[in-house]
Order: sequence, then structure tokens, then C-alpha cells
Amino acid sequence: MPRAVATVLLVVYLTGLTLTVIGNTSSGSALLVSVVKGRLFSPWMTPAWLDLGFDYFFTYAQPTDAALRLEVRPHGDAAWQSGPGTGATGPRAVRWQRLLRAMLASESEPGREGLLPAAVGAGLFDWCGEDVDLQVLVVPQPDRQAPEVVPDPAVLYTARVRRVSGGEVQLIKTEARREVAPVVPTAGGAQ
Amino acid sequence: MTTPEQPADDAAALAAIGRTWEAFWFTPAGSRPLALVRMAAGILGLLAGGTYAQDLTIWFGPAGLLPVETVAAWRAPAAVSLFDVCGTTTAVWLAFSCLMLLFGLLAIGLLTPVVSVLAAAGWVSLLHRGPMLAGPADDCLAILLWCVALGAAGEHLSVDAWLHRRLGWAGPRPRVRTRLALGLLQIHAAVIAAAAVLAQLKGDVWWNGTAMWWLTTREPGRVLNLVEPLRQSEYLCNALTLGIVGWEIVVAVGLWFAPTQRLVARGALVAWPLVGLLVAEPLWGVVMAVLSLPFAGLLGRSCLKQAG
Repeated sequence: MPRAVATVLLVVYLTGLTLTVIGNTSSGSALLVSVVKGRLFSPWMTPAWLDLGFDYFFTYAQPTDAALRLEVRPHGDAAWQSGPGTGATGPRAVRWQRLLRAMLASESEPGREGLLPAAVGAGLFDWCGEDVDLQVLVVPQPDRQAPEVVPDPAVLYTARVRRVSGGEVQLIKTEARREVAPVVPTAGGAQ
Repeated sequence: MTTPEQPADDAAALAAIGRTWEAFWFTPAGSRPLALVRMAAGILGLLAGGTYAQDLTIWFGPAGLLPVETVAAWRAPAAVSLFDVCGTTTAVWLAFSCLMLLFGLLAIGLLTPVVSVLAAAGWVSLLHRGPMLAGPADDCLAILLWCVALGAAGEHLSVDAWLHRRLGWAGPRPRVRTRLALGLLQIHAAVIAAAAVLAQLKGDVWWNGTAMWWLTTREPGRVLNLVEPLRQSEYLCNALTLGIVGWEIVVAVGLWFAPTQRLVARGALVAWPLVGLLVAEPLWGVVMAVLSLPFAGLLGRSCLKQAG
């Protein structure tokens, strides 16, 4: 009897493990897989481990996955300062990179948008006062054919985080300027 | 078209599958290989936990970058963390210190049955307190710790074993739960390698052999700086890239066959840490090596042979 129970538990676990691999979030998965996994397996699997799907960031090694950098300043200041974790090395630096990457990635995830930037900004109030600007830059990697040409860092995300009356933290995301067609007024046309 | 012999053949095939399953999961196994895994897991816990220490307050402190409410809204609904109740800097440090102590006790093997469960639960709690900070080494270490908690990992090479001998208590014996732990280690060692291959084969850079270049030129966390040699030799870049994929395939397959198991597992003790260095995930490389450790036959017969 105990072996029958253990067999059932093993089969359930191995099924969950398989779903974890084929339904990892980084690559996307079929709706059926994600629903079955989310409803039946995630509630008991997630508390015991992270369920990252063994589909890790480094296994992609994409040129677009370059290093990120956090910069902050009191709102209104001209000069940006390096954010916390800038001088970190080794595994510590990798954890800071994951945090910045999660900040960017969560902006396109429903329900998570703005959560991390607001929290990180609020965490910087002790450094910069209760009205801060923060930006995340990407440091592009040189191409193998022209390694001496290192592109300039590019800003990926900018926001202002401040404490408003009542103690609430407000996030004001700065949208990148986009090229738009000029508005040409037409005589007699609708304004 | 069926023949009269076919039902008998089907029944024999099913019986053979049943016997293989029974032998793989339920043949009592000695716990000496698992003791090595326990020691390594304790040391790895100290190392991986140590990477949190310097930034613990700035991340998880009361005025930290990752307040409990934000993380609770961000992480999976089912995830919970014992660290959530640590509302002060002192409490966060106390909980963290307790976890480090548990890893120390696990490494030396004191009160192993209790300590191993607490260490696994504590480690997962730390990860769920800041899941956006966690990576491959943390994820795989959690698996390692749960496997150690499942088996009788304190029966050898431990303070527990010494105390048992001193007090004249029952000595170590082969156990089914140890076999279950070893089986799960083997499954995960192969599945993680296979999952890495699947992920890599989706990316052009692993096909055209330039993945190593993009991994090496990303500076944060880099351990080996191979930019110059890789710039000079495209062949080297290709060889390292394809070598990593090839190695993962070898592990995913080779761990399952008796003639290759020990060889692959011994190779894993060297190759995985090297892969970890190359991809700037050294702790992950060591964790992967430890997953294969019981099958290297360092302390006698390999686990597959014990099962058979």
C-alpha cells in the first residue's frame, strides 16, 4: 500500500516536472499546458521551489540581453548617480542584474506593471529624498566582427517616483519621445 | 491483425515495466552517496546564501527596495516565505543567520532529519522573499536540498553517525526513501540538462556557434574573461558553444545507461563547474555536478547497479 501511494505521488510529480519544462514562462507555452499546470500543479509545486522551468536566462545568450545599469537622482537634478549595486561583482552582480531585468520585463506583464520600479524608487528615498528619478540603461555588447566598437549605453526605462500626500508612493513613467507626424491645420477643417 | 500470443506479450511487457519501475524507485539503497550530496548541499547553501548577505538590508529591510507587499503582489499566488514576517532589520538578519546555521549543521550532519527539512524550507523561503533575485543555482539548490531531506542523508560522514556509534544505536541500513532521493537526483540531473538543450536550440546563437561570445562579453558576474581568445578564433568560440550543448546532451542521455553512467557522472564533476565558469554561473555549475555526484561511484558501486 505505501508503495502504491508513493507510485501515485511519483507519477504526479514527474508529470508536474514535465509540464514545468514544456510550459516554462520564458518561451511561452500552449494554453492547455499553462492552464493545466497553473490550476493543478503550480499551487503545490511553487511553494517548494521556484519553478523556473530550467530554462534559464544564460541558456539564451541573446545579443539583446546585454548588461543593465541603474541610475538615480533627486528629481530636478541634472546629474545622474550610479544606483545601488553598481560596483557589485560575481554572483552579487548577477542578482542585481536579475532585479533590473525583472523591472523591465514586468512592465509588459499584466498585474505587475509598475510594481518593481515603484518599490525600488521608494527604497531610494533615503538616498535621494522623497522625489527621485530613476533610469535603467542597457550597455550594448560589441559585435564579434568589430569588438573595438562599443555602442553607447541606451536608456530603456525612466520614471519619477515620489511620495504624495497621505504617504502614498506615486510612479510617473516617462514615455520615450516618439516621432509623430506634424499636425497640419486645414482651412475650414475640423479642429 | 492480432495473434494469440499478443495479449501474453503485452502482459509480459507491462510486467517488465512494473519490475523496472519497482527496481528503480523501491530497491533499498545505501545512503553513503547521499551523505556526500548532503555535505556539498550544506556548503553550497552557505556559498549561495552568502551572495545575499551584503545586500540583505537594502533588499529586504523595512525600508528596502523589495517590500513584502510588493513582492507578495509580484510573485506566484501560491508562494509563501517565512521571511515575510521579518519586519525589522534585526529580524531579517536573525532569520538569515538561522538559515546559514542550518546549512552549517547540514554540512556536518548534526540532527540531519530535522535540519535538512528546515534548511530546504528556509532556503525556499529566502528565494520567495525575492524571487526576482533568484537564478539557476538557487533553483537547482532547492531541488538538491529537498532530495537530501527525503533520503537518510545523515547516516554516514556525519556527526549523527558518530553519535550513533558512540551511543550504540542502530547503524545505517539500505532504505527505500534513500533510493527515492537518489532516483529523483538522477531524474533532475538529466531533465535539467535536457531542458537547457531545448532552450538553447531555440536560439540562433547556439546554432551559429556565437553564444559564447555574447556570454563572455556580458561583464556582470563574469568569472573568466575570454574576450580576446574568442575574438581571435571563431573556431574556439564555435567549439565552446557547441561543446556546451553537446555535453548537456551527453548528460541527459548518458546517465541512464549502466555502461556510461559512471563515466558521465565523473565527467560531470569536472565539466559542469567548467560550464558554470564559462556561462558566468559558477554555483549553478557546481550544483549540477553535485546532482550527478551519487552516480560517480566514488564511494563504491554506482546507484544504478545497486538498484539493479
